[in-house]
Amino acid sequence: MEIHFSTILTSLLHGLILGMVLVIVAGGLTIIFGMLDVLNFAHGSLYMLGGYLGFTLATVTGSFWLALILAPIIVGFIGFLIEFFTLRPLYGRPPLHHLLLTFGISLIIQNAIKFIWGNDIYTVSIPSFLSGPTRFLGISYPTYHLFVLFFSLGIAILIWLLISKTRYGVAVRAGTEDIETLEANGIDSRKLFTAVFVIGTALAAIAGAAIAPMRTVYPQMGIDIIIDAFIVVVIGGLGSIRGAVLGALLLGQAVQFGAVFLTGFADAAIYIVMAAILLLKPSGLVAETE
Amino acid sequence: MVHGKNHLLIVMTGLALFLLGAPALFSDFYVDLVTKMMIFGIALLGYDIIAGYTGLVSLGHAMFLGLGGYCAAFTMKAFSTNLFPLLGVALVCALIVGFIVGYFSIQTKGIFFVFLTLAFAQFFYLAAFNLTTITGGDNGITLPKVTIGIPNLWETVVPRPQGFYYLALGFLVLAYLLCRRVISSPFGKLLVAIRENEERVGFLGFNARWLKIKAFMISAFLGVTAGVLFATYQDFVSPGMLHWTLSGDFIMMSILGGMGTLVGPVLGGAILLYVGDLLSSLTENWMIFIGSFFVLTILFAPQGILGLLYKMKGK
Repeated sequence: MEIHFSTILTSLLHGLILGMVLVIVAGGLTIIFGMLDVLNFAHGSLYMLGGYLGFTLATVTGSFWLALILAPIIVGFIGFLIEFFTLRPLYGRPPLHHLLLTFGISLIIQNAIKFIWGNDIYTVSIPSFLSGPTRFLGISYPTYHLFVLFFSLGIAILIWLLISKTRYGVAVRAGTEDIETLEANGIDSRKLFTAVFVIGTALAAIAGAAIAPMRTVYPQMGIDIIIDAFIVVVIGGLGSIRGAVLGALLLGQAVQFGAVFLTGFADAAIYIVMAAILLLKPSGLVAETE
Repeated sequence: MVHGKNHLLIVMTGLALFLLGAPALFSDFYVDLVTKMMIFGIALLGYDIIAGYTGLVSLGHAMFLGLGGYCAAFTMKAFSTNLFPLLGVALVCALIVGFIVGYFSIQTKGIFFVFLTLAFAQFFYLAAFNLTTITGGDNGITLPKVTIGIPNLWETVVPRPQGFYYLALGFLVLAYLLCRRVISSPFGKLLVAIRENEERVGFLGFNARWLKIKAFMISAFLGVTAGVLFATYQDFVSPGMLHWTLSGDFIMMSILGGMGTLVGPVLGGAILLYVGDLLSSLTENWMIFIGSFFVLTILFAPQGILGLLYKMKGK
């Protein structure tokens, strides 16, 4: 097989976009785990809900942009209900309890989606000025894909600013390290937990709504993303945001180059990367929790 | 305590008599369902050794179920449809794969262990899915009818569902006795000690790593046994038997029943299979009920259904 520069560039871009979307999805999962010690299995279903809501809202309001803002707000509210009514009583319990709970919730959400939208696949139309390809460096690349790349980059920077530059961010970072000291300093950790969970779920929905025009919305989309997102969180070092970003970008490239070079075994690439990382560094890439 | 033990004995004897007589009393539909429950029970007993007693929760147990299934399929193609050679081949594979995967997986702990076992299981899934010339890919392999007896002397096809029911019951009882023995042995106590405090087991001069590998191999052993039985009962094996969602089911069934109790996970598996079967025949929206069931269980009966029963008895 002859490999051209343009093939490599296209693959790199595909992988990068995949990685950036994973940064958003797994980023939400990571801040939730880092702060609440909860592995949220329902994250994939909330991502999926973001996609479906995005589709319907875009159709009803006629504005893709409005949908992109409203879908995460609605899903964030659902996240609030989940945290307030089901997760709160379970803090401090073994991680498996959170897993069973959120697994149950994910089944409920999936069923609700099936109930409302059926088993059909929906295409979300791209805003006209983002449709068609863009030409640069000798390749022609879908403009909307590039938009997703910059959009997720923007969201990632926004989260980074929120965490590193604001006093809420300081509280979140402190909470990841030591809840008792944080409480002793007069911060209500309950409210902080709720806020983190809501933001985390909203991030899943943002990713789902943003990627919908690229990949359509379909009944398997939640299941398809959840394992990848979990893998990113795990290889990143469980709760480390830097680790998750690194892990997501690595995984994006692994999936993409797996598809090019491991034809027929493309899916194995992510598991090879994960197994290799966990065997070499048993606590993940960036072990901040230690 | 003596009273409690007698009580348990009566319950167990009653259950044994009930299970022995059940095929005569119930329709084939239920005999079939209970057969599946018992086959799953064997895998869940093995899973409880590693997850419940040793504290290493794996998301790769379907790997062994599928391994058993494909071993059975290949052995049938190669030389025999007799159950015992099938089991023999599968058990040898289980020990080899169990050792290798166990050796690497136990280098990690907690959630890292969960995901490393997932990675290994996915390799098997993807191999079964993609190596279409050998495995038939997603279409799977249809098996001939399994036989029991002595080859060339007296051999018979296992009648179903009744014959298979008793076969599964026999294996479940054997698996349970094996696990009980393992758990009450010094080795079993060490596994629990590893779950509670691994470092201390090391300080006492035991090789915790090797103990964990052995526990993993026992769970593999029972996993493939269930796999061989399941594949030969269904006359079919497909990559679905290796999928991570099935491994996830094992975790859910175990938590639901109560981990680290042997009986609990078997009970949890039976309940989930029954409820799943019932709901999916009644309504298309069965997921919402199963999901709510999980949520309510974890909120109000966190020690699993067995834990809830003990608690009610205690009051």
